[in-house]
Amino acid sequence: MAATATDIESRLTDLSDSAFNAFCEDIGAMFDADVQCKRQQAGAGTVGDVRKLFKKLTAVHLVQASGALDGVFQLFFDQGGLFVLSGVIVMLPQNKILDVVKRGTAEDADNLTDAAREVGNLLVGSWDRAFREECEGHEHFLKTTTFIGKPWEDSTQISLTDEEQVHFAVYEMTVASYPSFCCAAVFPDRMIHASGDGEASSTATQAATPTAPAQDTSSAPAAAAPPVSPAQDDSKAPAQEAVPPVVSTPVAATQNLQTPAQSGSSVPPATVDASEARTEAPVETKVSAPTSSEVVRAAIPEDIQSVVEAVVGPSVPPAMPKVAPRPRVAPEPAPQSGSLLDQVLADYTVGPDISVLTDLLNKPASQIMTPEVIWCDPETTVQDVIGLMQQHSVGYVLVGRDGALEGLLSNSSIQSAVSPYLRPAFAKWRRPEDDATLGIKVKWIMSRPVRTVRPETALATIIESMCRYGGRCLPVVDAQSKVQGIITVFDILLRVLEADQSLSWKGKPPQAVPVLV
Amino acid sequence: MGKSLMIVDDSATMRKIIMRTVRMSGLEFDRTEEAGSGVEALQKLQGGPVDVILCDINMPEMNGTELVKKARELPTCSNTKIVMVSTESAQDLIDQVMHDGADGYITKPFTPEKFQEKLTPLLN
Repeated sequence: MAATATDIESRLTDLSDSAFNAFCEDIGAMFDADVQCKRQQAGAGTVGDVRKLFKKLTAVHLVQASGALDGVFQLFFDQGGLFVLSGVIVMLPQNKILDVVKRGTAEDADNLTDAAREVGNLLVGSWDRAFREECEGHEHFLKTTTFIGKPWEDSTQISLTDEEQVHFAVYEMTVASYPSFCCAAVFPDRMIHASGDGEASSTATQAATPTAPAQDTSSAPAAAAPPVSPAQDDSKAPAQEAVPPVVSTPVAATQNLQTPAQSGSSVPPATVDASEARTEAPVETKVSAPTSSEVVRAAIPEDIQSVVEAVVGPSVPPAMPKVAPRPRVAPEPAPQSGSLLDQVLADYTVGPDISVLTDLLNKPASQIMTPEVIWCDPETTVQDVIGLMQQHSVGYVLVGRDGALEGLLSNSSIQSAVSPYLRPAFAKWRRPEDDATLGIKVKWIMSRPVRTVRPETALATIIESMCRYGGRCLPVVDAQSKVQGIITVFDILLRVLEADQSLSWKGKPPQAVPVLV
Repeated sequence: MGKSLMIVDDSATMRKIIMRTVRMSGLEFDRTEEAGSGVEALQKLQGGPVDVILCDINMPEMNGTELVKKARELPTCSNTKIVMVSTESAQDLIDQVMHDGADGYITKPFTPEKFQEKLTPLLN
């Protein structure tokens, strides 16, 4: 049995590597940022060893595992990790993130509680997928609680006790150009040995670990929240109870841990532990008992065997799938006969003015468009582009560099992206996070790919395209992909008004009013 | 005409992230609205249909699975496409919600490309 537990323990380091790397890839793809992590140390020790690394504000995500691993383990992020990851996902301005990384207070952390919990959810999503791919017998991970604060003031809040034996893997993680930070996976020994001992100890495992939450926690009443302070509660989490220490079998020598900051990123990972050496050792020796491996296998429950199988024949972790880039400009829709527009025209029985309307519908885009267009760079912030829209009194801005169209930004896109609390009516409730939404970069919210039309495209086709695809603004692009102007629904309405000689409408077409914040 | 979208998630942060990711995917919706729970979503749906619902599973009050079942009973939702967005990646759960009436499933973390891949066929 001990051999099996050891196998799981050594395999955990590899799985942690894969899981944290999967998280980096996922977050990087999700937020278009370069996210990297590198294992610094791994091994066995006591909770006291982990404690040294996380003295300041810390985010601890408690994860309930079932299957090959059974019990609760912890994922730690130091103050830098807490603020960088939370700040990035809510798009706090870089200077604000850097400030709270250095001088962040509990109140700052409290303001980012929701974001920190979501980081935890995303993290566990990545971990679950990595384990599903690489660990046979893995069933499920569920984040039960996110603790934010100083965990060691009462470590039972994170289901650990100071003298408890744990297996850990410590990483240095970097997100874009932010300072690197420290994170760690901590697996209580009772969990490893409970898994290794299989069914025989499953009862003891249940007694020693917090109550396993039901898979579907959403219907749990709020009153069933875990016994942590309200600010630390996870509304989705079922009750968590403090765990008494469980004395487990002695493990490898306690490691002398350093934080990534202490060790420096240039220092190669200090592979300290016996567990790594075990990983590199011939795997057959791990499962071969002095007597017969069949005897050992017969005694190991099926789910644990699958973990052993994974060790015996470790499969190369598949790379995270890469998604093909999207086409930048959508093909122009072909005019269709018998279309909605034809139907409208057929029903239009006002009289002799129908010829005016027909002429209008045949006009090319070049005669309808507004040639003056406002451009901005993809890196422009929402705040700056709002100023641009107000300055030029336009509702649409083209996004790109050197005349190459990359996206289209409308005032409604901006309104959806910025906090509603920026409106003057909500001024008294305005918080720093609301202001932070002004720092969102245009590239994140612009519409792309951009549907375009040619200068010679007839108005009928343009209206058809707008109706079919829902856009209210179409850039007019020539054969050399050079933008000649834009056509908005307001341009079209203006031409309709102008076509009626009985009216005297002249002037610049009205546009949607830019966002005012 | 333009499509409408409803995002149902108990986390305001996640609703914003989803909204941003949808925009980055290039999909265009004329009208978007948000709901913080299944109950709030149902109330809004009774007021009128939406074309697409992106729905979390684990939520207080009424979870996403219950919402799918109840939404399918509403006449206003007969043509609504419901796509679950969750960290839960267990196949049996995915099968269950699809059986209950969901039209698609996106696991977190997600990318704009994933939204485009899953939603484009439903919108067409």
